[in-house]
Formats: sequence, structure tokens, C-alpha cells
Amino acid sequence: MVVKNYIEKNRYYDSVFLMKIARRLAEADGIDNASIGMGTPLNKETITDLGLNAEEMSMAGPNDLIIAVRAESEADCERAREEFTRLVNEKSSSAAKNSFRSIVGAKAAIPDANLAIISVAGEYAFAEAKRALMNNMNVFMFSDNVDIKDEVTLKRLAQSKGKFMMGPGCGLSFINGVAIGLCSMVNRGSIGLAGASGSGIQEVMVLVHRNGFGVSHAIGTGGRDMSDEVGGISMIQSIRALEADEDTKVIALISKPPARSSLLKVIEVIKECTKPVVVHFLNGDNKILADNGIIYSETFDETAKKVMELACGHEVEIKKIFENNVDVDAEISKFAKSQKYFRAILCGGSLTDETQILWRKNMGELYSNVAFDKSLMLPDPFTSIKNTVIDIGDETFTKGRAHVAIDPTARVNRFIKEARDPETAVIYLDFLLGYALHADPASVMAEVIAEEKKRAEDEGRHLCIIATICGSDMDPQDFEKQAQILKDVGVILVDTNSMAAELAMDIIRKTEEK
Amino acid sequence: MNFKITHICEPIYNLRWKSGKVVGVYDRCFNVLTDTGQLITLFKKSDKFSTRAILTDIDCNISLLEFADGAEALCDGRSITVGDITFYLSNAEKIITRRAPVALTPKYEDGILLFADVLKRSRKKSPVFENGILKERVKRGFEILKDDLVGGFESLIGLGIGLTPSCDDMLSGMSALFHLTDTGQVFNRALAEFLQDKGDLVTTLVSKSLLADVACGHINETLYSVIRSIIEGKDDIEKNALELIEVGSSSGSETCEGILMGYKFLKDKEQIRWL
Repeated sequence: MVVKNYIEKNRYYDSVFLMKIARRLAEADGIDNASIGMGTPLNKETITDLGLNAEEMSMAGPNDLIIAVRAESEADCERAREEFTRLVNEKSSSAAKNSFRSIVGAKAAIPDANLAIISVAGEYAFAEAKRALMNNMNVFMFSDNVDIKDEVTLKRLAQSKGKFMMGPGCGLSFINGVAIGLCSMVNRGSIGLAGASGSGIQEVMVLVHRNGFGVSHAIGTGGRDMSDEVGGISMIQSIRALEADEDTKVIALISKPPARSSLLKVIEVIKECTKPVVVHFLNGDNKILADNGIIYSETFDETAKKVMELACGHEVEIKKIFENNVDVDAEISKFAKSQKYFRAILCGGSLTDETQILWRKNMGELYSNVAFDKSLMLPDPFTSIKNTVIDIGDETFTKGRAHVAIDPTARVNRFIKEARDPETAVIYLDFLLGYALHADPASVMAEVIAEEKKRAEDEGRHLCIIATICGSDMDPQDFEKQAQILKDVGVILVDTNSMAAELAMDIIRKTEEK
Repeated sequence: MNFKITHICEPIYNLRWKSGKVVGVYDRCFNVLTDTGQLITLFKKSDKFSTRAILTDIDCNISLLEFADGAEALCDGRSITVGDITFYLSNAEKIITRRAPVALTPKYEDGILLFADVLKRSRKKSPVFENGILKERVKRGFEILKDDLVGGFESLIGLGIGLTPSCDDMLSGMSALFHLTDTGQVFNRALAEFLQDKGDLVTTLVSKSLLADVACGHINETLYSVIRSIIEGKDDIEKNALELIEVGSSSGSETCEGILMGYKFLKDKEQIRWL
């Protein structure tokens, strides 16, 4: 065996990166062991303890990097050294290769680019979006905290250039079969969608996909598009674009309740539209829609059913994905006396809204961190009161981290808290699948679900966990596998958000009666 | 390209230097080692920064600027220049980083329990917990620390593979907790002296500078917020803890471990000579 130490003067890398590289080197052919670290005296002792010290190590100071290798031959050691250099260069060049200092530079390098995805901090997003539009690109903007006047400016500019300004605060779009943002992959088809409702649009998309239909395009407009100030610019542009689109036969609009002035403008556009339009404005005024002869719906399930039926011209029976044969009485019989409340911890903002609407209609009070009724707003978003639904994707919980559908840490923490509350009987979780989302959300939650169910059981309580999977069989996370992982830990799987809310209401109602 | 310096942290506010070298370029910041042997770190616009920070109005990714490790940095009192890039120094505000102790509240114990829970769930992978040999050394080092501060520092400072060795980050958390709970003054005095005498020999420059700052009561906002919310039993413990855990690749988690270690020391103070 040969031991060599290579010293890189004044070299700094983060520890996790160094750990990964050391592991890769140690697994290479001909290498017995490898260790990489800064040349501090204690690290040198560790390298010595591992039997990886060589003469060269004495030349390293605390600010120098030591690459220590033990291999079958000098040539193997050299190969390890080259591999280290290659991995380090790969790390810096993969950051640099497709990086440009400006949108103008990027467009010059990729002249065919017709979409800019912007997620810089809000105060810079306006300038970047403007540059993108001026360079004849459509814009998809994740960024929030953009001044509303700037949003109007951007949308008018986009419109004048025949481009789309999707956002600010846009979570997903699906254009020409391409999933953009946090979006599921679905079949192409004849149903067009537009609106400000990431998880709502996704719910409808996957429902139509599951039932053999497809989506032509789903255009995200951003959360404030239907406000008085913005006036539905993107919504109106989207309706017209979908009307003109050859592939689109029927259109669905999904959004939070619009400002009256914007609603009236959109109504006029819908009435002129030559294709059927189904409107689903969560918690909106459906009477005005009915008075204008506009088809409306009140749940995402209903929206999906209506657009499918309009697309094919006959009744559609929604396909069941999961057997819903829950023995509610059996579930209730296992609750301890203290257990009486429902706690939903949802990644999807629109799914949270739909749950609120259904609960309020059928059960009464439901607290939330995003409550429609201000009297039901949680004073402390980290602490539930009675029956509560939490939009865990809200910035309050994710500050400094990626959205909870990408990094589930915030939800894991909240789940534990709710599971340990002796008054919690039912917990409902939604799982969002799609590109750019967490690779395996079910596994992350399954581990903690199993632990907390066991803990509850030891304490004489039973946790009833309900879940939905808002995704398709084309998503990278493998829908069936996600479902099985959850079933294996005793989670009750339900097809849709509204069905989950109904099941939860049934259980809580019967618990109250008992 | 020209940028403005908007804020300078207290420990380096009155620093005078003429030349230096870039020692580490990252997405949000880059380090300069000055001719006077001091570390300064120039940050892009940010609300999270170290006690060695000079905040600028750069809004792009710093690693895209055209200079690299080893580049010369010059300071003439009015500006700092690195390659073609100049940072102008007029009217920069001072960021106060020296913190006063925080009065303990009855909610402190619950705060620590909640913090420990959050850390258990959310901690990032760290070499000192993944590697068997390192783990043993760390355990031994903290045992030695209970009886012998200098011996403990010698067994811990510089142990860990990255830019800020893991044990330095743990001691940082511990030091900050002692300072903010107004306990362990002996610990912090000894730490400051140890670093002054031997810091350059036993650990990286970056780590020595940051640890020395904490030992003297200069604590960055992220770390301060966590400990203050624990001591006061506030509702934002979880939020602040998660922010600290996000710092660096594993430094934040290790600093959190240090806070917990400090708490354990305080609980066992009868067994610890210097507490």
C-alpha cells in the first residue's frame, strides 16, 4: 500500500462537499481509504489515526487542504488526486457553465429562448422581468413582493408584445406539454386552464388526466391578477389565447375570489368566448355568474367533471383511484376521550381554501393561518385551535427555505406537534408530486407518521391520518410507490381534497355525537 | 464595476488596512485576509451575515464577479478594490454586534426542549456525527473541557474538516449561550485568550476570527435570535432555529448542537470546575 498526502494551499470548501468527495475517492478502484480536511493539528491527528499520514502533511497549515490517500500504487494515488481536481472543477464549472451575468447575456447565448423563469428577490424581479420581456421572452415569475403598480406595468408590456407575464407569485404553468414551476406532468388534451391557484389548477389537471383526458395548456396568472389594480389583465389574455388555441376545446378558470371590477371585465370576455368556460372562483360570488349564464363550480372535483363532460359531450363518471371503504365507527372507537379535533397541514394554498369552504358550509368553525373569516385567524400560526387547517406553504413557516413541497421540514415539525396534542383525532396531509418538487415526500412523512402513531398508541390514543396525492402516474416520484409507502404506515388514502375533507368531517361529526 | 458599502459590523468598523488577499469566494460573500492578519467578509445585500461582515449593494451572485482566490485586495480608506471592482466606503452604518445578556424567564426550560426537538428533526449532516473516529474525539474533547478549559480547547478547536471546523462551530454556540445567559465568563475569557495565543496555529483564519468575536460577546443576528427566543420562551424558537440550521452546509446545525451542549454544561454545573 502507498500513502500520499496532497496539499492545496489556501483552499476552502464546505465540509459536506469534502465528505462527499472523500467518500467518492475511497470507493474508487485501487483506493483503500481517503480523507480530506483542513490542515489543523487536530485534523492531522485524525488523518494519522486513520493511517493516512505521509511526509507531505507537515507542509500543511490550518488554512491549507490535505487530501490524504492510501492506495495500491502511486499511480492509484495520482488518479485519486486527479479525480479530486476533476470533481472540484466540475462543481465550479457546472455553476459557471450555464450561468450568465444578465438576461441580455443569456439571450445572446441562447437566442431561441422564449421563456424566462424569475425567482430573485421581489425588489429585483421587476427589472429582470422587464429585461426579459424587452428581449421578446415570456415570463414566469415565482417571485413575490413585487409592487402592484410594477405588476401592472409588466403585464401591459407583455400584452403589447404578445407575450405572457405569468405572475408574480406564480407557482405553476403547463404550456405546450412542458411543466413549468412546481407542476405535475399530465397528458396533452383539449382542456385549457387559467388562473391564480397553483394547487387548485394541479388538482384539476391530475383529475382530468386520471380520467383519460388531457390538458392543452394551464396558464398561471399570479395571485393578484384579479385585483382591482391589475384588473384581470392576464386572466383575460389567457381566455383569449385559449379561445384562439386549436387544441383547446373547453376552458376552466380557477382563482381566489376576484375584485368586483375585474370580475365584471372577465364576465364580459367569457360571454364573448366561443368556447365553453367553467368558472371556479374559490369563496366567490356564484350568483353573479349564474345571472350571466356562466357555468360555475364549487369544488375542484366538480370543475374537473364539468370540463371533461363539456370536452366529450356526455356524462363522465369519475374513476376511483383508492378504495374508500373506511370503517368510520371503527376509527372513532379507538380515539381516547380527549381526542376530538381535525388538523390539516396542507402544502397547497388552494387545497387549504377548499377545505375551509367545505368545512364552513357543513360543520362550522375551522381555524386557519389563512382564514377567510378574520375571527377564525389563528393568533399564533404555530399553534392550532380546535379544528384547524394550516397552509404550511405560507411564508411564515418557510422563511429562508424552499417551499414546503420541496423541503418538507416545516411540515414534519408541525405534524409532530399536532400528533402529540392529546386533542388531535384526525390529521390530513396532501402530497404534491411533479417536477421540481421533493423526490420522495411520502418516505419523509411516513417515517415520522409511523413514529408518532406508535407514540400515540403507547399513550392510549389513536391517530387517524388521511392523505391525498395530488399527482399523476407520469410524475417522477412514482405515484403508486408513494401511495404504497403511505398505506404501509396505516395512512387512509383518498382520491381528492374534497373527499378528504368529507371523510374528516364525517369522522369528527360522529366523534362529537358520541 | 462600482458598488457601495452600506454597513460594517462593529468588530471591524475601525479596522485600518492597506492590502490583502481574497481567500474564499462564495455565492453570497467573499473573504479577504488583510495585511494586518484580520478577516473581513464582503457580502451581497443580505439579512444574514457574520460578525466580520461588510455589507454592500451587490445584488448578483458574488461568484459570478471576475475575481478568484488569491486576488489582491486594496484599501485606501475611501474604497476597497478587488480587480476591476471597487466598493466605495462613504457613510457606512455600523452594525452593533456586541450583545447584552438576556434575563432568564420561567419558559427557558420549555424553550430548550422545543429547540432540541426542532434540531433533532431538522439538523443537517455533519462530519462529526457521520464519522466514527471524529465522533469519539469530539466526545472525549468535551469531557476534557469539563475539567480543563485549555486542555479541552486543545482537543476541540480545529477538529472538523471544513472551512469552519465542526467543533469550532459547536464552541461558538456554547460560548454564545454562556454569554447571553451571563454565565461561563471564565469560559469565554479563557477562549478569547486561547485564540489570541494559539488560534492561528490550531484552526483556520475564518474560524478563529468568528470564534474570537463570539468569545468577546459579538454575536451575529441569526445566532442571537435563536438563543434569545429560547431564553425568553418565545413563539419564534422554531422559526429562528430553522434559520440558524440553514447557515453554511453544516455550520448552523453544529452551532445549534453547541447551544445544547452549553445548556447541558449549565445543568451539570456542580460537576464543572469553572462554572
